[in-house]
Amino acid sequence: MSPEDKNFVDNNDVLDRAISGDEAAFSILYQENVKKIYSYIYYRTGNVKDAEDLTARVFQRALNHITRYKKTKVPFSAWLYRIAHNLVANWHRDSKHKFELPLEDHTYIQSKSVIPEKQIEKSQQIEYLMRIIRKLPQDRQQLLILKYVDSMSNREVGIIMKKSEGAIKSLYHRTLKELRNIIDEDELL
Amino acid sequence: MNTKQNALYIEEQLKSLLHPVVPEEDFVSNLQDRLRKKAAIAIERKDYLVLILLVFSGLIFGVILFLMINGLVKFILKSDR
Repeated sequence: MSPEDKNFVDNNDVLDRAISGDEAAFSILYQENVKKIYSYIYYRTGNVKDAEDLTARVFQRALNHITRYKKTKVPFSAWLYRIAHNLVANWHRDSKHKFELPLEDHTYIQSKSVIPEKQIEKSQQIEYLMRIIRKLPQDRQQLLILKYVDSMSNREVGIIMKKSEGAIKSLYHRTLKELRNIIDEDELL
Repeated sequence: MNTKQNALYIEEQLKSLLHPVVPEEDFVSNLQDRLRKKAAIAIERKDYLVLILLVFSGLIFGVILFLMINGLVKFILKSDR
C-alpha cells in the first residue's frame, strides 16, 4: 500500500474480526464507509431513493461475503466501491432511469455557509455539469466521480477500476477532452 | 482558449462543484439496524445448515452401515451353505 492511498487505510484488527464474523467489527467498517459509498452511488444514480436502495444492497452483499474477503487482494474500501460499481452498472442496464440529482435533498459538506441565491446558482451549475457528465461512457463518469467527489488519486482510482495508474491518467485526459467537446456541442445548440 | 486552458478550466469547474453528499442520519442508523438483524439471521441460518449437514451425513453413514451388514450377512449365509 502506498502512502498516497489515504482513502484506503484499513484497520487490520477490525477487518480481521469482521472477516471472522464479528458483527460489531462489521458495524465499525459500515460506519467508516457508508457515507463515501452513498455519495458515490448518489452521483452515479442521481436520486436519493435509488442511492439509498443501492447503498443498502452494497452493505448487505458485503455482509454476506465478508468471511470470504481476501485482505491481500484489494483494500476493504476499494472492495466496497467495486460492489457499488457493479450494482450501479446493473441498475443502469436494467432500465432507463431518469437522472434527477435533486440537490435540495442534500447537505453539501462544503457549501453550508453559502447564501441562498449563490446556493441556487451553484445548484444549477452542478445540475448542468452532471447533465454533461452523464453523456460520458460509464467508466469515464466513474473516473470523474472517484477523482473529484471522493478525492482519490489516480492510483486509488486504478485499484477500484482494475487499471494501472498510467491507464487512468490517460483515460482522465481523454475524458477532459470529451467533456470539452460535449460542452462545445451543447453551447452550439 | 487553447486546449490546455480548456482542460484547466474544466478541472477547476469539477473541483469547485463536485463535493461529497451526506445521507440522512435516519437512513444510516436504520440501515445499520437492518444489517445487525441480518447478521443475527445469518448466524442462525449457519447453525441450521450445520444441523442439516449432520443429519445428511448420519443418513449416509446409516446407509453405508446397512449395506456393509447386509453384505456380511449374505457372506455368512453363503459360507454356511
